[in-house]
Amino acid sequence: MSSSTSLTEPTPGGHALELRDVTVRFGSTLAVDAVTTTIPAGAIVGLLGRNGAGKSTLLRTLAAHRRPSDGTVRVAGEDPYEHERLMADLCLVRHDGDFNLDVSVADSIAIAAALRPHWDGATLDRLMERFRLQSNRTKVGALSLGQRAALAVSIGIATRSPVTMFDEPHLGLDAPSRYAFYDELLATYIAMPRTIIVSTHLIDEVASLLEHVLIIDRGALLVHEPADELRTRGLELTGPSAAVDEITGGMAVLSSRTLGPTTSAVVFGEDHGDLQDRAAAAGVEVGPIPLQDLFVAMTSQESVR
Amino acid sequence: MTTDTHTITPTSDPVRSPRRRAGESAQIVVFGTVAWLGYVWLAATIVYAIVLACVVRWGSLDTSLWRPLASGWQQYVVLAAGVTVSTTFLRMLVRNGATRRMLSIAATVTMSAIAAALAIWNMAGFAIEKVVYDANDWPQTLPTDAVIGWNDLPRIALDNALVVAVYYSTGWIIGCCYTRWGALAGTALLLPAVVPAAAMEFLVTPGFAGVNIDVIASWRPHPHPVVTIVAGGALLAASVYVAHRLTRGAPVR
Repeated sequence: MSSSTSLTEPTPGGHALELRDVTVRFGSTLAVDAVTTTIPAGAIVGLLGRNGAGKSTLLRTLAAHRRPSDGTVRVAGEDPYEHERLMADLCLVRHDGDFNLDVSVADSIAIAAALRPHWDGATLDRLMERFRLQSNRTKVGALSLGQRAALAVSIGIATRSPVTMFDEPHLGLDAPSRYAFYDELLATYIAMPRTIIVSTHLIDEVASLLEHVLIIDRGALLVHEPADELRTRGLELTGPSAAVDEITGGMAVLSSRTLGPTTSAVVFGEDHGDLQDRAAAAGVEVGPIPLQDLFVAMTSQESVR
Repeated sequence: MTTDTHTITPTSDPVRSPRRRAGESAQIVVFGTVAWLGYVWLAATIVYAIVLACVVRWGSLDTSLWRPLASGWQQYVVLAAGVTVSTTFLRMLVRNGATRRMLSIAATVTMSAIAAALAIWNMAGFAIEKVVYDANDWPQTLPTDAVIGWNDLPRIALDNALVVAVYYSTGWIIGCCYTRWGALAGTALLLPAVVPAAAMEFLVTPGFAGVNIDVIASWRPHPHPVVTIVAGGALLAASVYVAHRLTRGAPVR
């Protein structure tokens, strides 16, 4: 791959992936609603959303598995759909591997090895051993769901694709396998940085890996921010109900729970100003909120108060 | 979480250039199709050989057995093989980074390979049968009442190749219609989709390939080989072009 086309190098716009008003419809169903965002080259991005939020459709559109109904997708500044080089550089791993179940494990690997330009057989061998898989004539359909998922993520990592996307890889993987996957993902990323997008529900498990977070709900992009910034924007206030209500007045409150005289509210904003001082004066505790809780608060409400 | 570091050296492997990957795609589709079609051909050959051996031992014949037992229904199996271009190989290749154009080229190569193989297989079947029938002084008659001569064999190969190829492309088109527009629209488009296959059956010699309905095969004219080659070739090219265009917009579901 020449340096001028490498996705691990910043494109002229400084981003590896660019979406402009990307919309996907299935008949009357709006799966992705005018998503506009940019994803920097070489970042590990978390794509978070509830079931049916449009994550898989968005990833399939990014991977050029389908065209958007409206809008444009650009990878390294070019349309990836039917682009010989870019399509080879985009790898989407679905949780079940999306394998042909009648094809053997060995042939499934051979097909990926034949078609992926950056294929790394040594990495695949190591991952197969770590996940206790064997490259043999066993049909993929005879594997358990967990083995199939492990095979899928192994192949996905071994492709060394400049843009590698994992669509809910946690489904089917047991806890040891998931942590092995996170380890290997990080290890290969350190060895060869690339753009990685992980769609998941188990946010706490991957939170430490993520540099950027996209939150999508009902097809629309709610948030796209660096993970560290996002963490600072969400705060939980706990204290006397009247005091909490007064302090959060005029702020974006994502969720609020009241138990007797005590209220706990999650607020979200760019600049919390003198919130800490006012809270301390009113006897209200202020604490950070885990990414998982922030995600739940943002996507479980009808609208922000 | 513990992190192991591994040394991975990025390489630019020239053997996996787009051209090379197009070749690999063709191999995958050819072998993935012939892998199961071969069993069909083998089974048909074995069944035919057993029946023919029994007839030679205990009875007699005045019509071709090869035509109804082995040759006359192969195009329908090939039609199913054409459908797998979109139902199986589209996902398999595009998921692994190949383009739909590579898939179309691979499917065209597969179509040509199957057509050539079946043409030879059909011709060989009729030829072997002719040797057996001649040895027993039996006429090798087709449903059209035509008796096959040695000089008919090249025409049998040509006709079978064209019919098999167009059935493959027809299956390919049908599969693409279902993949692109779903079950309802795909079913509605079945009739126009089979037009190339139906048309080709009228461009080949009655009884040699294609039309199995005796009443139709017996009255329609025998087209000149040049007409078959030119018109059949144009028809095949048109159907393959349509299949290519449909494949280009097919989503991977």
